[in-house]
Amino acid sequence: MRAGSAMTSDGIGPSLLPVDVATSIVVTSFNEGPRLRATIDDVQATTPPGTEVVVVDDWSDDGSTDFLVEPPRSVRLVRPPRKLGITGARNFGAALAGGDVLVFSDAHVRPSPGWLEPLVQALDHPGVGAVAPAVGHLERDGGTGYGFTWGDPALRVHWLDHPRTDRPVPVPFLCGCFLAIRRRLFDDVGGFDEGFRHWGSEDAELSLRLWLLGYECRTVPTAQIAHLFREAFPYDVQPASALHNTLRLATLHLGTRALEVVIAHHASLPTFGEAYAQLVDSNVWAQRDHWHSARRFDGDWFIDRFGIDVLR
Amino acid sequence: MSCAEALPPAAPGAGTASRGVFIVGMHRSGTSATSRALNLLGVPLCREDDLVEDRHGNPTGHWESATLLDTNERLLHELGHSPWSPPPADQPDAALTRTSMPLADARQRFRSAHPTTSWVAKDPRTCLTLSFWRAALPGDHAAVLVLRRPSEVSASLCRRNRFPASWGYALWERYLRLALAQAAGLPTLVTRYDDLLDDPAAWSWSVERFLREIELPLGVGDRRAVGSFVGRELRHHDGDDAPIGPGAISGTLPAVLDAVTALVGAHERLDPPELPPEDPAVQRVLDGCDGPDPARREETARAARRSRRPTTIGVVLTAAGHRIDADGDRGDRRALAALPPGSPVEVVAAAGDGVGRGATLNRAAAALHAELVAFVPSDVDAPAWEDLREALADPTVGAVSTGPPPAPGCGWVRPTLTFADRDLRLEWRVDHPVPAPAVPLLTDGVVAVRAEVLRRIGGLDEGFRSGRFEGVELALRLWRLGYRTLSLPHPPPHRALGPVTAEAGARLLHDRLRLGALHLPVADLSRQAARASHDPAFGRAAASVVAGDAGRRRAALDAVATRPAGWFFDRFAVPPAEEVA
Repeated sequence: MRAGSAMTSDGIGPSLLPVDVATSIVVTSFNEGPRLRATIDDVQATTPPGTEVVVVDDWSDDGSTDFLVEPPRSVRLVRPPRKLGITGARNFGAALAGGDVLVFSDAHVRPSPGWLEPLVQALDHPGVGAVAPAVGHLERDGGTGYGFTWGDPALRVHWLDHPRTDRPVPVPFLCGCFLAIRRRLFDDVGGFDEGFRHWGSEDAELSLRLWLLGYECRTVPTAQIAHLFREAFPYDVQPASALHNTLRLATLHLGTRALEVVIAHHASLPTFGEAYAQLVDSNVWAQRDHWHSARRFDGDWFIDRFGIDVLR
Repeated sequence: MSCAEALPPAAPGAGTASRGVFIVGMHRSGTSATSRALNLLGVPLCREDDLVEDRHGNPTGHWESATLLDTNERLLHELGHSPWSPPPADQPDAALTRTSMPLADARQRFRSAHPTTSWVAKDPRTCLTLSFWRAALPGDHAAVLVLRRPSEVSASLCRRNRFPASWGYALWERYLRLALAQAAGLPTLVTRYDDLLDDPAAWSWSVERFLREIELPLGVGDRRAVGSFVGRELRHHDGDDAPIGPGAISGTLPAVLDAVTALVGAHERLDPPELPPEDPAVQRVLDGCDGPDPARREETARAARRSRRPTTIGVVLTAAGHRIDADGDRGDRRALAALPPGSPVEVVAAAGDGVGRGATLNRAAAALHAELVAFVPSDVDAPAWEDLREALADPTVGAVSTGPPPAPGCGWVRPTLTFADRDLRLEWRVDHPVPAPAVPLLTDGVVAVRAEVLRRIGGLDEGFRSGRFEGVELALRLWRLGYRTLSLPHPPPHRALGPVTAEAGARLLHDRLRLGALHLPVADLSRQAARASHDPAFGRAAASVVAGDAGRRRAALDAVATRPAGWFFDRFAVPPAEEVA
């Protein structure tokens, strides 16, 4: 809930969000152990009372959601009918959430006080698709990332430095660990792409999709969270699936030349054949056709816009 | 035309219920005229591009769906029967219980051809397969059973197909027995062809009343158009007045005739009368044991096949390895020798590489307006055109190509083109597990295909780049769609192949990857990609494949194919490629 404003954050036009804008935090969780509870506590401590928190338990079996049998006020625990993976779980939670603004959060984050207001303000602009805070490390000293770009043809994450301003700045990609978007826009663009398997690249795809549809993705430096960057995961990360996701992302939105660079870079990996076969047998062609007909810009424009020379 | 356009995964309204009328009745009984009459009264037929074009025997048209006809033929073929050798009378549900065609596939094919909420579907073969269709198309459909005197049917078959009279009578009885048994419980109108001819206005009124009583949605109809359509010329043969002539040798035929005649009229739910067991003479006649001698039987079978042979041949003459002028005149028109006079020829000069070859050939084929399309390289000797027509008379044959003859002294051991492994490299093998003349793949000699089949399956694939894979992919697709591909022995092309350049090698790699994306099951596709990924040209080739239409075509084919992606490679014992070290 925030104080009413009749105009967008830059004063250009009428506000895109209601005066009493409601925010829903969608937390997706799988075997997060005690971190889930800590995350929920921190989220509730840094948001107005009554802010909806939807916890999507993607079939955990470590007892991490037992404490939510009697959930705190404004917290809902939901479990999909079958294990969905990160994209399906986020979409599942979004469908059940009632807010005008959706904030997707991992279950191992600690938001700093005062994060919500600047994010919601930054979303109140017709040209803005999604926003995210600055992301630091949860358990160790380290840098802080302000959105990310691609550092190599493998499409690996390369975090961006502080933009030298406190104003929201456009960046290529927002990290899905903590990301906010207007509810209506999220529905209009189809949510997260559920063709991505298990884990990986789904946040970059949403960001890239928004850019090509004509919306900006912005980092809000004055909003900050800490995120647990793990070296070991509490679940299986299937290499072929992660590579499939990279190939899917490239196939969906990049031009043929950039796609060639990505494929050539990965072709020597032992899991490439499996990932390629998964890609060919998927619905990537239908989604590519759909987004290519709907978008305003193409992948080459994006590469030029952000100077991603590794894909030229 | 792309595969995805020609074979849509789902027709509009496919998810909604439709109701229709099956026109059943023995061949030559007026089922075509009845189908058209119902259409003129406001019941839609199949899609116009699905109507059978061949008008042999019916100058005003057959008014039947090629999709329905083709599916019925396949069902009968799987049963080991045919329209002229129907299943036994005591097995009315044979088409349902003894065939493997998935009901969902048949339903999807039927609805693709009949996308309207109401429809009329006619094929005399449906007398033999109605039990299958009732299961495949759940809903409250109806039947119109068309009767004609067996003497007239027999005489018509004698005139058109040169069948002996006894065969015509035997078929009439078998068809009517099976039709009655399979229509049991359906709202049914039993009507006489004579009534349509004698008083089309009264006939139309009775049919309209029946359709309204069963609450079938009707479009705008025109009874006068029915009258205009029906003329004395529609009576295919004026037999004598006796309903049963001297050719009938079944003792039970009169009882069947009396029983069905008594059923003339509308039935809320058809309750077939109990009929005496079929006279064994019927089966003896149909087996050919009692009636025509073997030589005559063979002649009759040939006559039946001739009725389905493509009547016109069109040739797409392609340059192969050397250029020819646009008018085809370079002296290398040996391939056209003995072509029937007046056969249309489209000359296609090949591009330097193979890019666009599929589209060029498709355009040329579409311009021919012939029933048989032959893709003929200019460097081959003329094929035996009649043999090609004969081979394509079989509705289960999708295409025929010419292949190397047996080596001297080797009898019928002929080399056939197939895949060396599931990397989809081509090779010639002399021991293949397929009875000759069926072969796995079509060669790059003469390739002949029925124009309506080519059109129905979406033509040649237009995405290959080397000029080598269009026929290979066509064969794969035909096999998966339930057809066979044959080879006829023929001298090999007079062709010298030069060394493969790097660019040509890259195009070949692209085409193998595209073929894999279209047809390989996932596990084999994975291995193909892993093995090919070491090629310097792989990145570009793979990017072109995944960014192109291969995925769309793969999904479209998977939706309609009667055989899954791996079937071909199992069936023809194509070994898996070796695992990458």
